[in-house]
Amino acid sequence: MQLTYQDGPEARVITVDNSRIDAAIAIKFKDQMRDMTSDGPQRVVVDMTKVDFIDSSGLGAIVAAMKQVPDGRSFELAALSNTVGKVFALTRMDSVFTIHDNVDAALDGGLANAS
Amino acid sequence: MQNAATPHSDQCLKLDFPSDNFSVRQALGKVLSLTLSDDEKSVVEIVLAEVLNNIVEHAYQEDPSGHIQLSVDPSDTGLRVLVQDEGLPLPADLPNKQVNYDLTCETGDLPEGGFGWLLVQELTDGLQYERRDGRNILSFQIPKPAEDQA
Repeated sequence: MQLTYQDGPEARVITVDNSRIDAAIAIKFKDQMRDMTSDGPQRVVVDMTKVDFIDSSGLGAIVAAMKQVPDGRSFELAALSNTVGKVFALTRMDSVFTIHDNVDAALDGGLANAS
Repeated sequence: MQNAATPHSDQCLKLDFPSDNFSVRQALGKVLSLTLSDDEKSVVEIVLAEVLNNIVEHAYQEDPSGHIQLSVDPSDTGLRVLVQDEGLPLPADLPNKQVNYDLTCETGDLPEGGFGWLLVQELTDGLQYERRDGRNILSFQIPKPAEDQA
């Protein structure tokens, strides 16, 4: 399970470096997300570019990660693969999350305008 | 891919593997090496991962000494799939259960589970379950996405 993050003026971008979020890493995903979303910028954008596949346990872990974010902070997703997007759509979780096409779109210009 | 030229309908795949996560991933890899469109692959991966994980986790209760038999038979209209195991039976109400949950609730009340069987129901046709001679026999079709049909 590999999560890394980078803070900009507007948001913390958390990058998932696994190609799959499934039962094998669901608990670690949730725990690491708790640590990474408890401080830093109010807005959190999760970059899912490298994630090809999630199963129902992975989806549950993503929902759990969103639920544990402290009040007043966001938990947004960016760059869902075709398969991941399908899982969100079929379970209607796409109506619950803010989902961006990619990280640049989420940040509307990117982290680059940091001072 | 070496069998890329093989006609679609000749690709019937029959696998028999132990009920551990590694073998399940290997089996999934073999199914995904069939000649399928990207859209089909993504649906097949979602459905089979859920079905096979359920067998490992619930039917065999994580006991890796069980056996799973999987046959995948491509046809013009999609894939016919048959999965058999000798583990515990499915809960009696599951095969026809209408999975429904309320997503208009507070964030803190959102469901974190119950998605697996919903995905299987949504992505398959003709889902049938039978318990016979101590075996679970689950069959279904994964229809070919509309844009792939000639």
